[in-house]
Amino acid sequence: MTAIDRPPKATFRIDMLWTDSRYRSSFIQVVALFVVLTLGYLLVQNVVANLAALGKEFGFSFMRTPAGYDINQTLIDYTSRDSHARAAVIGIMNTLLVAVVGCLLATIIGVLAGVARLSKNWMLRTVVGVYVEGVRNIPVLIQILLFSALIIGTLPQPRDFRGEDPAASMYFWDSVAFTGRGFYFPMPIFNAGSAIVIGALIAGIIAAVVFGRWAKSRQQETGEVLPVLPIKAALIVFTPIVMFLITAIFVPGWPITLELPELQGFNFRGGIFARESYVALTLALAFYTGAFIAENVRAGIQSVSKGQTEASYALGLQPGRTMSLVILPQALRVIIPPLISQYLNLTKNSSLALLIGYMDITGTLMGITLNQTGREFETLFLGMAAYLTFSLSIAGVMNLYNENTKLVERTSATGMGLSVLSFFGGATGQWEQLKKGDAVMHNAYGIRGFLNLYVLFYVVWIALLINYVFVEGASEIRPSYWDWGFFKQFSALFMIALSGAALATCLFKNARFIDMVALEFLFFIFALLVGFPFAALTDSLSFVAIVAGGAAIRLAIFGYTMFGSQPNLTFFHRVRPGEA
Amino acid sequence: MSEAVDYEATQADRSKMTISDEEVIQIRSMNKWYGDFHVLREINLTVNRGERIVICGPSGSGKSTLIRCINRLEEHQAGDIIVDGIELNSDLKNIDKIRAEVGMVFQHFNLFPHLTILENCTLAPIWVRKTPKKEAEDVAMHFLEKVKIPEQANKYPGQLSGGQQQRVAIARALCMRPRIMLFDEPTSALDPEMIKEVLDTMISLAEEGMTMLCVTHEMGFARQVANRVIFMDAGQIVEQNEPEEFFMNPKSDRTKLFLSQILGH
Amino acid sequence: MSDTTSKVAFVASGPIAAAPPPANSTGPVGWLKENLFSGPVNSVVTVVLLALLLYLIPGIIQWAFIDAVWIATSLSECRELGRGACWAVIVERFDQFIYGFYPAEERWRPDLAFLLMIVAFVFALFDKLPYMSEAAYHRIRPYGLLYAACYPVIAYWLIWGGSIWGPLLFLATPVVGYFVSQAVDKLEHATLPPALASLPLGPIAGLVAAIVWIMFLIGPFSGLLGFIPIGLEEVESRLLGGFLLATIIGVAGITLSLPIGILLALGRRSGLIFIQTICIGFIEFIRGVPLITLLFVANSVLAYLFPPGSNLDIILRVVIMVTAFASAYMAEVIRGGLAALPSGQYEAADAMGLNYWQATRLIIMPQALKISIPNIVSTFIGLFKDTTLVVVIGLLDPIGLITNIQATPEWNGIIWEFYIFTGLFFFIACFAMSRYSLYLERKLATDRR
Repeated sequence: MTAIDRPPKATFRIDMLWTDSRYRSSFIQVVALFVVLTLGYLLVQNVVANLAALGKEFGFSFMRTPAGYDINQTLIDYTSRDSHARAAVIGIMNTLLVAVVGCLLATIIGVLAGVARLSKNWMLRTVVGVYVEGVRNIPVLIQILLFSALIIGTLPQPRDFRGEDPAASMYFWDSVAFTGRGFYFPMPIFNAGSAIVIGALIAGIIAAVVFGRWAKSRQQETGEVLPVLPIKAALIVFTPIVMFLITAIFVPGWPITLELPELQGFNFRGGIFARESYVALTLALAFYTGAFIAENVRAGIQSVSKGQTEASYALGLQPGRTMSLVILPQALRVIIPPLISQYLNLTKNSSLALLIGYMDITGTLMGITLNQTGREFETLFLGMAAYLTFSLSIAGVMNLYNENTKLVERTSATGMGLSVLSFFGGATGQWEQLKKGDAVMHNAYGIRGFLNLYVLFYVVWIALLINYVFVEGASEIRPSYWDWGFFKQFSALFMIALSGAALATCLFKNARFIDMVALEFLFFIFALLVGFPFAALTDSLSFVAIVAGGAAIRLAIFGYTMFGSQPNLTFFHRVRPGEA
Repeated sequence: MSEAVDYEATQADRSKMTISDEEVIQIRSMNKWYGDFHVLREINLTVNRGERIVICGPSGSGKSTLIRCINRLEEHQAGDIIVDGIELNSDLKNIDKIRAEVGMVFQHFNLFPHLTILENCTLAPIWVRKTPKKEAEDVAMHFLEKVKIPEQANKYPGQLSGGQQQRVAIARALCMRPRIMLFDEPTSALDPEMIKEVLDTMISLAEEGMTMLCVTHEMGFARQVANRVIFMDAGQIVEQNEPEEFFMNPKSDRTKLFLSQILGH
Repeated sequence: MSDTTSKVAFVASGPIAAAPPPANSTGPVGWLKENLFSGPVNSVVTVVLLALLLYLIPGIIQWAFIDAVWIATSLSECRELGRGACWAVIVERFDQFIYGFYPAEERWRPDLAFLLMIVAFVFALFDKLPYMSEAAYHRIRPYGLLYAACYPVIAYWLIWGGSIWGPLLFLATPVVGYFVSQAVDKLEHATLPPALASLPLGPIAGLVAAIVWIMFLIGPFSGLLGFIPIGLEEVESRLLGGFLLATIIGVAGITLSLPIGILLALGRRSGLIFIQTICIGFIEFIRGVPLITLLFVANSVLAYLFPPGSNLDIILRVVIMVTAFASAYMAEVIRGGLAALPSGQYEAADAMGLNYWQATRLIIMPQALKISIPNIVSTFIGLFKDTTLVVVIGLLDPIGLITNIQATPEWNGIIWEFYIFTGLFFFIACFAMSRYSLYLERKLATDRR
């Protein structure tokens, strides 16, 4: 025996699963996996048994049957003979219409109110404060109903505009009518020659951008500061106006005319018609969300310390420049993330449209379609997927913004990025190291470059899959090797989810190339198992073309990553924090 | 506090510090109130080009407010301030002119955290002096070398130590080629070893003949560099004298009390 | 240099007394000048706003108070009595707004439940009380906390009624679990192989026993005990409504979501990739869809997930989905609190030799929760406002009642009064809570200094 008595090498015992730190976390996860799978199994069993008891099926083929109901405001053509799928698309477009216009209005209201709350004027401050506190503390549903009642109850009916001495009149030289049924606006009609004017507008915008760059480089060379903003505005505004007049000389009639709403009988005809429910919903959401945005704006501006303004003044910068060069760039970092989540809230709150009869996705797909077909599972699944898509895209944008504008600190604090994308970056990558380095390095790395190609590829791919599954060939998906029963429709959905995951992986900077490859591998194995008919995706492309094209794109990406001008090593191995 | 720093290593060369007869700042019976509080009372002060003035006094005595009035970060309500021949009143043009000529260094640095060190230094020259970018960067690098941190030019303020940040703040002010520099307690937010690097920078600035007004408690610096020490209390200038006289032979009782508190251990 | 000396030396002759500031910079005039008329733009803004307010407010006061009718039995009677607001409808239907269609003679039960809830919250939230010595409070507090833990069952029984035995046996679940775990603990040491001895078999057995007890034994036992008829009259869920319903859903959602939210937040930070994935998936899914779709799920799909034949009450289903909704938001709030803790706290806990759960329970969570309190209150305000959405699945919350009352012939045609009344109610409740959270935030900020 030697003097040193080494402990015997530990052999595996069953209790090391929960006492040894090497196995413990895996063991816990396996147990959790088991519990979740059991629960999932039980739930699916219950669903199958319940559906069978009611004699219901699971499938999306009902989406192609005629909807049989009318929708009172549509952006694209729709009749009640169109399919449920088209009705759902109309609903999605209506949701987006409210969301986009609402977000724009809410931003304007919020920024104005937020700045007003910081005003020196006591009266303004107080009035805006009452608005903000009042609106924030009342349920948005009550406000929507209130706006709806306000429009229906206080605005004149179209018939009030009739007669010699009408009870109501139109505004802005008889071009706009506010009625209890909705608002009527003039609609631009594009006649012959309008292409020239639109071309001039585009040219004006391009010229403004070019001028901006030229002015910047000129300033860098000579130091001269040009009045960039007025010149840009003039370029954008006057180029199309001048072309409009010139075109009018050579082409008979005006190139663009306005179709005014006109009273015919008991209603207005022509122009753009915004239904009262749409107006009420948009305005209520804009004022509600605007109050929250106002608080964000106020907090953002207040977050920039007074010392920053003083330092800027002491250097001789004027108040306007101080605002644009010093205060705003810092305040925006604080304002934008909550602003985007307010946009998200507005989009989600737009689902309340249902209660005032505006037909958004909740009203069509999850409302009438659900009631008519009795397909609760499928409609709610699709509706939630639509909202999730909106939310996750907005969250993705926010994440990219946060990543790109994080302030560089000596000790990088643990932030609380709330995102699904961070899901793919369990360990922080080389990016973290880069942030501690030079600004030059900071700019050199990033999402730019080859990734755009990959993102594009996946967007097209997902669009094709969705189109195939929901529009063209839903019922043809048959598992070729065995019968999946309840899951047969889910196979394609799962593939979409996998592709989405791969896409999200591309979007996340810290993801390794290998992660993407793994997801794709999973995808293809799965597709092979269910016998997915790739060739059916598009009529023009053959299976060979898809496989060869995909391989070519991957090779190109691989080459670019390895040998391109900015080789990005993080895509091959993950740098753990602490490893320099 | 100040005695902890060893100044023997960097003796300032007073012979280089010349003072001309040109009066660059004239303050005549200036008064200022915060609400009902009379914070500056009948201030009269004339500063010649090349003078190094140290202003000291207990906290709340109005010394910071006084120098912040000189570039109109604070507004005075009565009396005249004339800087470089320009009268400071509500005329925005005059304010802009004066601010471009007067550099200021703050207690808490107030560097712009979203800009790199170099961008911090070139911001004002580009937008106020309308200097070409290349030239502004050359000037900035020159001053960054002078404050001995050219290698940090592409980093962000958050990545530097307090002393380095304060030296950048000095370089940033110098990039505007100011004729007067105001220092508002530049070392009181710093650790002792960082105080030295900042004071060294200020001493070398004095040797080049910069007109300086410093609010500071660094009495060693005052002795070594200043040609005048001003003691303020309760909003008024209580006593001013050459540093030797001021420290050795204070006249007013309040000055004596203050000096015994700050120096006498 | 010497010739400047004479110029430089200066000593003040004496202290200068404080002079009053120049007129019109202080006092009411100064205030007006500073706050209302500090420049041409500001003056215009002030005048315009003043004109607007003078134009609007008298009309509103006239309508809402001077010309208003407070007592009437129908809208037509209202219109005869005055041209202003018809508050008579609110006065007449006030009880309905509070209780919905809860039977009038049983309304003392929700009242009592509400009072008991306040007592439970006092015990749960405050660690000292005014007008009570600390020692005395500390003596009774453990019992108070026990009572607070039992309160949900008590409230359930009070509001829905029925036999007392079911709720009582449900309350006995922890006792059953405790005895089983003790019995297994004793058994364990005698008979088990050493490899299994390190597993917490006692607690596991207790948990299993509790589940078996709830799922299979409570029903038959309460049936057996049913021959002793102690109970309250049963009240159906569809009769519940008004602010009572909003409060039930809001309070149930927020109290249940707190523990679930804590677990989700810990799971999201655990570093165990599978658990993390499940937590993130759940949180982001819930936060990505509107509450209204979750309520649809509660209404139509949720029942499919339970074994055939189990008839879940609609309010229970709504509470399940609202809890899921609130816990996702709560998880993010608590994660924020956890992230705000300095890492030194974790290291110190590790260094003291505490294991994960001990460190979390004793060191991390108390601090993280304290930091999160203002945000928890905000989440609660949001949830309370969102309870109005249950109207989409036909429950009679305050807004559902409005439609209901508008449909009656006497009050058909009234619109504004309803919205103003419910809006005002929610405003007062939510504004008070938001002020409270602001106060907590300030208090916290000073505590941490």
